[in-house]
Amino acid sequence: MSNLAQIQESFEAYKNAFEQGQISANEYKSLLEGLEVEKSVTINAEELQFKEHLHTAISAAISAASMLG
Amino acid sequence: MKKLITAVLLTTTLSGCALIDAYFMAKYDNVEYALLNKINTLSELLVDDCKDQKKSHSNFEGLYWTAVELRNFSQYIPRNKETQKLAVNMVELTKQGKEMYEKGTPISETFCKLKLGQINRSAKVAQEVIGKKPR
Repeated sequence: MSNLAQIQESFEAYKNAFEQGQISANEYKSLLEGLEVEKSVTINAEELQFKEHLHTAISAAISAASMLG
Repeated sequence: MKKLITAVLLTTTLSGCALIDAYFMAKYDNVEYALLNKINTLSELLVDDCKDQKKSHSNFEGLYWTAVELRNFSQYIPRNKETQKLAVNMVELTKQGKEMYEKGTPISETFCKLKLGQINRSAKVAQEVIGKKPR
């Protein structure tokens, strides 16, 4: 399951827990705010992953160019 | 050859700054990884304490302190912007849990488990990507 699909599933689970009286309104609010942070974690992790891939590609290109030269 | 083509394609579509930033990005750091692993492991195991309000309050405080330690550790490492952002996210998430226990009202076992779940998932995502930083 992707991270964003997991966030969607959590949203449904929190809504159910609130509607069934398992969590208070304040707890529900805190969990929803947490989902916003989780979304941000996913975005920031993707940015870092992109940079890592770019680093690998540049390093490989430099190695290849060094061999040619 | 495939990698060389990818690199050439990337260099033609990205700005010089982005390339320099990626090439000189902060390397893998054992301390960052260990602190995230601690948050990941504790948030997985502390679910067992959720019935105990006092213990849970102290557990959330401990998670918050570890997240703050991670943020403080990563903040002055050059070219480490993404890790710094992830550390700030971990501080925010653990703070949300800690603050609920500081209100003085009883906190449900369900909330405790769900909030620990959020912290655990986020720590795992961050740990996985930080573990892949170049050596």
